[in-house]
Amino acid sequence: MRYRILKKISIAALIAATFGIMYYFMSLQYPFHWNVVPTHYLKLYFLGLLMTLKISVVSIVISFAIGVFGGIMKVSKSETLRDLSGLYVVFFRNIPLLVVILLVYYGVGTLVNIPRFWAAVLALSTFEGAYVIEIVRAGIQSIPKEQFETAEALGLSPKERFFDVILPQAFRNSLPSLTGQFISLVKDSSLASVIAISELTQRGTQVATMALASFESYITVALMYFTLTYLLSFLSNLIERRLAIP
Amino acid sequence: MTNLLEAKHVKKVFGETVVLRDVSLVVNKGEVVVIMGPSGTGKSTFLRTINFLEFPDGGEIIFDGEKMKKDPNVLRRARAKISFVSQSYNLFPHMKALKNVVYPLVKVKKVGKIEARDQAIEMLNRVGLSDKLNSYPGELSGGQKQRVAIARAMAMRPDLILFDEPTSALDPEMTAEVLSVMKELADSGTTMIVVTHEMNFARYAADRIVFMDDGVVMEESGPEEFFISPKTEKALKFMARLS
Repeated sequence: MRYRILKKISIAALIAATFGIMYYFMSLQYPFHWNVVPTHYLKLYFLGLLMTLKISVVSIVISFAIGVFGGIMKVSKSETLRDLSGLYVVFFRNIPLLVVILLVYYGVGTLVNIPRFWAAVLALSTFEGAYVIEIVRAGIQSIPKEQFETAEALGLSPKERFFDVILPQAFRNSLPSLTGQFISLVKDSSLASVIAISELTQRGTQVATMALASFESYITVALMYFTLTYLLSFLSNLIERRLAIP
Repeated sequence: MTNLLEAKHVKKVFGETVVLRDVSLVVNKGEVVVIMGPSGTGKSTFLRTINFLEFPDGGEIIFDGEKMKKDPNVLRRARAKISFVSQSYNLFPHMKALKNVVYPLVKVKKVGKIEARDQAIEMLNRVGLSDKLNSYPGELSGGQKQRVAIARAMAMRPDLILFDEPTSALDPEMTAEVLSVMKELADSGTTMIVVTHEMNFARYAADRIVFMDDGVVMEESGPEEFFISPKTEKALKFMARLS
């Protein structure tokens, strides 16, 4: 036990030292001006972080809804429903997210008036939803067929079978993959900066040009993303432990 | 009307293989019927056609005076009265033992929550698991799991319980505990159809033995008669291999 902790600490120290040395050599070429970040621009980063959070949370909720809905369709008895859901997945998995965002904002946006924020949310959630569909499908298919049968033999209705028996088990099984996908979503939200949404990346660029401190600004942005997604996986670990069944 | 279940000329085909050629069986109220026979002769499949987990490709199943068909309402009504205990995997792993019994009572039998809880506790008591109410299936042994499954089946107060090789995944000690619960159930007048290889259970608990081979019923007789002087050569050979 003590040995294990020691090992972890030494690895952390090694990594910190590597970064430190890299930083030192870089600072010989590039004069870092860290003081500008906290003093003048902290509020801008904070606003950016808030916007990133807003886009991410709304998109996670919508993409999860799309995933559950599409995932159920994907395992349904009806071939038409399966095909429809499959088509959706194929479509969004084979187009880059950046193109989807541009399509929604500059394409669909010219036909109907979509506010920037919702254009980004729409693009992100439909895109990530395709991946969530596959995760939900795999989760459902990971449940042994005896579980479906037992539920059927008991006389439960299709709705009860699915929502009380299959889905809770499928959700547990897919939680790790879902977390991974939602972490991707948070990071992918940085692409919303191309349609001039003032989220974290956009704010980072803004500070970089205003303060003439690109490196500092983007390091700050990177650290903020890291903290955000790391918290997300921490949260998911907690939920996983809470839901764990012996 | 004493006959509870009537299977007439049931046929089942999986792809190219004919699993059930022509199986007919009448089961009366209160009877314990044990189906025996070599592996792969369609015993389990036949059991599963009774509650329409497998749709028969020919013939018909009449349960409690009603012909079974693919109508969800008919099936739901019948399945609420037919309990099914299979080999394994039949508890819901995300529900505690008590919830496993309570849940179908509330949803299918529409019993009030408090009453369902009381009934479930009583049934778990009867199978000797009053101290495992709050255990998850993953914390129970195979025999205990199967006893919870039987408690769940009993709690539904079914007209008929189907057992599909309930002890085949258990070691001898657990088999004994499950069989004793089943024996008690048989003695209390529950109508049961049991697919099993347990000779002793068949001998002492069955009212009738049905011997199946190659998708047909080869013979049907009382346990005494079946074990002492079977009518067919096949049954004789089968028993020689078992003992």
